[in-house]
Amino acid sequence: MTETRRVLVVDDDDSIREMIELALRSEGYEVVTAPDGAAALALLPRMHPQLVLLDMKMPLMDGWEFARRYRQLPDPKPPIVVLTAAQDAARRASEVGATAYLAKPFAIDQLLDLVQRYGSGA
Amino acid sequence: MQPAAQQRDDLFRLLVTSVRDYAIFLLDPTGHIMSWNEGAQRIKGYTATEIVGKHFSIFYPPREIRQGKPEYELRVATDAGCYEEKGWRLRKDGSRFWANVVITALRDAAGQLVGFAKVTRDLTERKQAEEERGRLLALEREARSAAESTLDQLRAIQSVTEVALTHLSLDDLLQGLLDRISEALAVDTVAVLLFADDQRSLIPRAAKGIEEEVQQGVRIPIGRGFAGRIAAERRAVVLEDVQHGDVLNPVLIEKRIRSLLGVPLLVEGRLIGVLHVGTLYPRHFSETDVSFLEVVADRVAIAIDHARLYDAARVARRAAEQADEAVRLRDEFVSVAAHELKTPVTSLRGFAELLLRFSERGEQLNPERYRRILQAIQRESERLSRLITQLLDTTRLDAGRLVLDRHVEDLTPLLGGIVEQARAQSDQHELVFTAPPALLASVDALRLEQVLQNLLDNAIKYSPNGGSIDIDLAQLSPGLVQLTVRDRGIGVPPDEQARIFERFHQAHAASHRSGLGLGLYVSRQIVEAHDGQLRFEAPEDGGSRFVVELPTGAGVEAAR
Repeated sequence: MTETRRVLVVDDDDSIREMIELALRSEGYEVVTAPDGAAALALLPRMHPQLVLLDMKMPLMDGWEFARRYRQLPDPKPPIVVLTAAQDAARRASEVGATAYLAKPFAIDQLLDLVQRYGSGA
Repeated sequence: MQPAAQQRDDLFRLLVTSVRDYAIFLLDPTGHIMSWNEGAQRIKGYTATEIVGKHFSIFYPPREIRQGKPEYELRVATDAGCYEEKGWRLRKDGSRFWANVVITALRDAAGQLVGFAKVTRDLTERKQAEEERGRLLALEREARSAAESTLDQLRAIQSVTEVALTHLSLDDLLQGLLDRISEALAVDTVAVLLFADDQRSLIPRAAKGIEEEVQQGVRIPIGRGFAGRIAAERRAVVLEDVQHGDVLNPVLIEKRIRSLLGVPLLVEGRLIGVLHVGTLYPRHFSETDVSFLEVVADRVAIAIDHARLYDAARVARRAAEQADEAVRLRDEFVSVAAHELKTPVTSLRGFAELLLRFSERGEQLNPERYRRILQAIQRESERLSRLITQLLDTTRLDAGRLVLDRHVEDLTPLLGGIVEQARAQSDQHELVFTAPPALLASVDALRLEQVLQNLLDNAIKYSPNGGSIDIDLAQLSPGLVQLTVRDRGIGVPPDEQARIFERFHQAHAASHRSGLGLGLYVSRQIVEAHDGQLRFEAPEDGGSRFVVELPTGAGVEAAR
């Protein structure tokens, strides 16, 4: 591995952010977190993550609005993986043009598999 | 006489004698007939031998002879030179004919009256034709006026039918029908009485001119009074001079209704009520009036029947819509609830698996990190358990099974403890608790804690930019305690203020703030179970203020 892989975690739930951060750091990833879409957009240009893990239901700026603005950014852009507790996770993922989705609650192994698959190739 | 003149005279005489369409004859100055012709014989029936020498009054009806009419005519002719009239004359057989008569006085060269020329025409046929024409004209006028009145009736029926066919509510429909009927029949009162639910009496449903009877809720038993009689006899009843005892309805009596006409309202032979009209002055109701009202009653009855079905359908449709809405709301709630429950479970599962991984790998976590994970597990478990309690509470509240376990408690430490817990939730907010040293009230401690917890959760959740949150507990008056929670957050939009205490309602649903939308609903139910009140106030400088008022309850004095 030539560079540290960096993941942006966008979720309004403090505990979930903390949990994902711990899981990814213990596997050697660098993690940046944001509690809503607006904060995440502000971080993007400075942090250059290789993957975005995106919650959908968030106050201030939700996942849909984040994804809409995200699409307008110049390429290349890291892929988005949607993390949602909603029943129709697949539909939400396709609505925002995400590469993959993970339904909450998920197993740590599932999370790490996805991050490895989509977060290393960028 | 010269031969040529002789010949001309002969020809002329021949002309006169042979004219058939006119009776032309000569009278002497006293009125005796001197000559006769073909026309005279044909029109009057006499031959020349029978009539010549007779007085011309023979042609007049006896009454006119007695009145001296023939002499009068000769006198006029003598004086004026000519007399003309149309009148009845007699034939030989005694039959009468309508005659046009011209009597001309004949004078010699010296001006001496020598007689009269009388020319008579038989106009009987023309007269008959004229009479026939007159009769036909009269008939036509009659027919036309009959047709017009039929047309008027049809129009009136049509106007009733038009109202009857419009899909109005029953009340609007009846009002429209009464207006049309009172106009068409020119009556002062119209009333529709329908069967009461017991099927044994009639209740005025709509009235014009006697509106009071609807408001007073008069009830007419079948078989009694005017309407009751129509219902019992199931046929039209006319009372042209209403007598004491004919009517039962106090409103009809008070209004001194003089004449009444009423008909039953039947739908396919089934009696549904009575329609009656009345006047303040004595009125004769014609056959036409009765049959008009019967025809109208048919339409009114069907319209009422339809309107009832229509109303019933509308009620059913509304119930179905409400049921649909309830199902939709419940589905939405279940999906929100599932989402809310999955959030702490996601953290719990993640942290548990991470701890397991670390332990399997024999990795040593730094003690601070380890403590933080355990704290998160504890926090998320509590959150999960709170959500489950809320869910159970709603079902319990729905079923009316919320049972309070009330004891006299000191609210100051009880609520102070909750404020303390809430402080740990957020470091962005400053929670300021103001309370007297002690405040006793009979409450269900766990439930009251739940109320304050909900109010504080909301205050924190809806103050994203932090700020101070004031919690004030005070004795409002002897026997009444007030607890207020005031934040400086985003507040509640005016159009949402009425709904925030509804079940599942989230005023800021679009902003995806977490929660079940149950907190305020459950809180209000708990406070009301304590015979207290929970209300929202919008402070002028923004944010929200929730006010709980609780009676201190029985047993507080004794405990003091």
